Amino acid sequence: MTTFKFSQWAMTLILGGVLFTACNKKDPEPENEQEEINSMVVTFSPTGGGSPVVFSFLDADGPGGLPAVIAAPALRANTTYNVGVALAKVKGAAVESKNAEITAEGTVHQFFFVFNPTGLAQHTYSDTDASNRPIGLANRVVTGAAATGALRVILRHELNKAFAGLNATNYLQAGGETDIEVSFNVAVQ
Amino acid sequence: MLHLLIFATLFQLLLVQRFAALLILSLTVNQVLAQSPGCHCSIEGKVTSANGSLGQASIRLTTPKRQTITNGEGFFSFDRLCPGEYEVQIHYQGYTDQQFRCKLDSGLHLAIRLEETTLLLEAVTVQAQREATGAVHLATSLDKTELDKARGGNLAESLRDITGVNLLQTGPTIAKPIIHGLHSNRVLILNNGIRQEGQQWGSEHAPEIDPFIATKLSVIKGAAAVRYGSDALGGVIIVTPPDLPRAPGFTGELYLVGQSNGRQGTASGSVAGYARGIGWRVQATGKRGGNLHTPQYFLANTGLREVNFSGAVGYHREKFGGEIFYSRFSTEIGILASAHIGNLTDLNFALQSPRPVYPVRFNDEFTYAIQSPRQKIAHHLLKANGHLQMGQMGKLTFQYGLQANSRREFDQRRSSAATDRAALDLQLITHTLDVVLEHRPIGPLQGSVGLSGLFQDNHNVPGTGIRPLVPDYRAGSGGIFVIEKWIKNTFELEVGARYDYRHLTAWRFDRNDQLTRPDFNFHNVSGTVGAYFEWSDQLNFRSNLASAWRAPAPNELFSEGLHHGVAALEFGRADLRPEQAYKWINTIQYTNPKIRFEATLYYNKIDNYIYLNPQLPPELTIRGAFPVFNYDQTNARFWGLDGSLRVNLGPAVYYTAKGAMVRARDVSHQAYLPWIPTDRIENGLTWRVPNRLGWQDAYLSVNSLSVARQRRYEGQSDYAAPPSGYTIYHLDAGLAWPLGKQKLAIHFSIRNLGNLAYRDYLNRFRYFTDETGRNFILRLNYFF
Repeated sequence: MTTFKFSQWAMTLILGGVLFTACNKKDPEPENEQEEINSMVVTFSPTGGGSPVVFSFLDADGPGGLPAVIAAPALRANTTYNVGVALAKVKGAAVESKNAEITAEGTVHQFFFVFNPTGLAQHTYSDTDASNRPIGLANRVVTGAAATGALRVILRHELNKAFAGLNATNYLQAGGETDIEVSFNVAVQ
Repeated sequence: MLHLLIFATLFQLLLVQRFAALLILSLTVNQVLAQSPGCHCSIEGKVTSANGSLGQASIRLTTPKRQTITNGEGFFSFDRLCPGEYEVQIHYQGYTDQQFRCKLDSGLHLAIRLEETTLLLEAVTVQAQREATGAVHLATSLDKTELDKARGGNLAESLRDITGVNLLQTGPTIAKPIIHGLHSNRVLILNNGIRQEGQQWGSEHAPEIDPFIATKLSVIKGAAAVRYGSDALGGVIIVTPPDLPRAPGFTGELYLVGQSNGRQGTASGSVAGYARGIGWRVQATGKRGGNLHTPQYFLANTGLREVNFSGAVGYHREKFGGEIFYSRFSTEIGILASAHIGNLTDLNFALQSPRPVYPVRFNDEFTYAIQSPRQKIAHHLLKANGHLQMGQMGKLTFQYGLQANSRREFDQRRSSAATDRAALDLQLITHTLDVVLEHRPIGPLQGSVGLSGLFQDNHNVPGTGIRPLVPDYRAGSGGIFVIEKWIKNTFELEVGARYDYRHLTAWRFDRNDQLTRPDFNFHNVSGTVGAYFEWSDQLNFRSNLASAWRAPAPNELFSEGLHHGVAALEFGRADLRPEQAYKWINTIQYTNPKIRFEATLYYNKIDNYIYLNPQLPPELTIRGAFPVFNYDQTNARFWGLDGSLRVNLGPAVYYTAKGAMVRARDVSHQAYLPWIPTDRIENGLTWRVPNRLGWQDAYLSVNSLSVARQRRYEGQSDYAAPPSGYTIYHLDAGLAWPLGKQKLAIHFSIRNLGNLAYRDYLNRFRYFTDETGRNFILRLNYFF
């Protein structure tokens, strides 16, 4: 009855295979998320002095889950601001700044500030990358007359920064992809 | 998981001598053990002469009297034959008649060579092959002759000549087969008898198989789940390597393929031999291609590199035998540079751009260089199989398969320094074991019982810096089936049932990085009932009603977040239930010397069909707005019709037509389902050029493919309306020179003859780019 033995052996192998599932698998470690930026803070500091106005976007639990918390207090009309952008990964109380990463690869990154309507404020860059082209972590914004509208802050990656006449309206033509795009409702008073 | 196809084979070497002893027939009988003798044996073959294949040759069988005529390519077949001894007579005017006896106990393939005037001592090779499926399931196959005319493409591209099969593409380099509107986890692929277990859940995850290992590719369009196990909702794709040699000798093949588009070159070769009872084969393929181009522009980063090899040894005796097979597939594929998008604004810009705008790293020019985004994939398969004759009980076959799949996907990252770090790094190990006992026929009743088991471990290699798309998991499954067939001369009835059990444990981190270990158990009973009727030698009909099931895949259960390739947020659901399909498929075949016709009509009811359900409103993330899709279940219905026709217009010219349509509905919501193949029709005219100057098998053919626009879609579940329909033309030509015992064949093709700029609904990158432009392909095949 070798045949019977053979079948038995085969059965044992199958059952063995299924029972393997019961064996212990080493618990994995959570992946330290490095791609995700979940916080942007745009600080408007009046050049003439006074307390800064802080716009912020925080999506503490990332895409999905709870909605992001967005704040954009009113700006003063006809005022010049130094505007700094801070990107970070925020987890609980820990804040890990991502600005250095952007600066280090400044030649392939650029922020764009899109005001709608365009008369809401004027934007100029105050920083440069290694090729003397703007990045947009430091900026100057001059507000217009009192009005309401929106500001979109966009960070583009791997765009062609040598693109002729690159600005906040034609940046998509320069290629690359969007790393950050946040829209704030703006009131200029 | 459960798969019970048996490829273990038994070989007999018979020498049958013809009357005049002028002809020696070496007869190799290869019995596939899933079959036992009954009245569904077959004889098929090809008649050739020194000048090439012979059409219109007459083939006669005595007792029972059957007669047929070879088609334009010299092929003929008889099926529904009972086992026994047959006398075969071949007649062709101007050639010496041949007559010999052969013993039939499953299937035979005859290669018959007729001599013009003088009779020569000529070796006739007789190979036997038979499908592991019964007559109830129609396996549509591409044999070696057909495959050789189109070598060089990937597996899915090789299959697209089969009616009812479409491609789901992700750019020009990644393609998956679609059968009757279903793909990915809903199609089962058997690679050399082992169910392919790669990361099949993604539409950008192509099957990890080198089509050069196949001597035959078959598609079973029915839900053949009872025999092959879960997932076969749409059908089964069977990749069959050549049998190992059973006679002393040494043979080899060399393929060289060059194509103008992408300046792609492919070389593949194999050698096989037999000594002291052991047959062996080694095979290897290398491929390299650069950026492809559309009629107007280059597709940046669409190069690929591939290195594959395989080896097999086998030992066979009448009572027992065994084989060991190993193959390794490895590839690196570039992903179209413009298809990696940041958010919906980027996507809308890409949709409006007449040509892709590439990131600054890439240029609209030719290069072989591959950058991120790219995929690096390796797939190992080790298989051991054996068979044993068990006297009164029947035949026992077993096979064990070990697969190791490594998938690394490199994404465009925010920091260039991290670009060489995989964004997805998965290792999947799968063990499968199948044991089948095929009992001895009891009168007209034949059948088999089988057991199968699977154990699988999925591991995310740490260090990607990205939350894994699918978690670590372990799955185990087991199945048991029985299939019985009642076989009469012109009628066959098949009934089968199967029970499956599957267990899944996942190691998953929740939003707060706390480890959870959800467990899942799935059970299912599948059944099949089918019949085959033969009205005459020329007309037959088969009908099969079968159920199939599929447990939800890990991505459907656990996805949580951004799916970059499609700029969407996708969320899985842990309470998904298995999909349950009931497919009814009917095929009619009619053959006479002038016309060959086949039509298939099917209806597939899929309950708990898992799909991505669009949610409103779009979610605001720090990257901008993204549409949200939740995995959900509904009841779906598929039906369709496909057919093929071939008409001999003269002794050397024939016309072919193929067409397919699929209709799919979400019946619970009265909505259309996305990514369903559009209606299509192919027309072809082939001229078989008469032999002269020592060449043979020359042909010239022109084919057109017309694809309609998809009008059955839901606007809100797609980013862009389906592209308009198109018609493209292909040209193929080839010829062969016999060089003594060797043979050199040349095939030349031009695809997209008119260099038409078009987009295809079934290409996921249709948002970003046109399809590839005109392509000249030259293939050299050398057999020795």
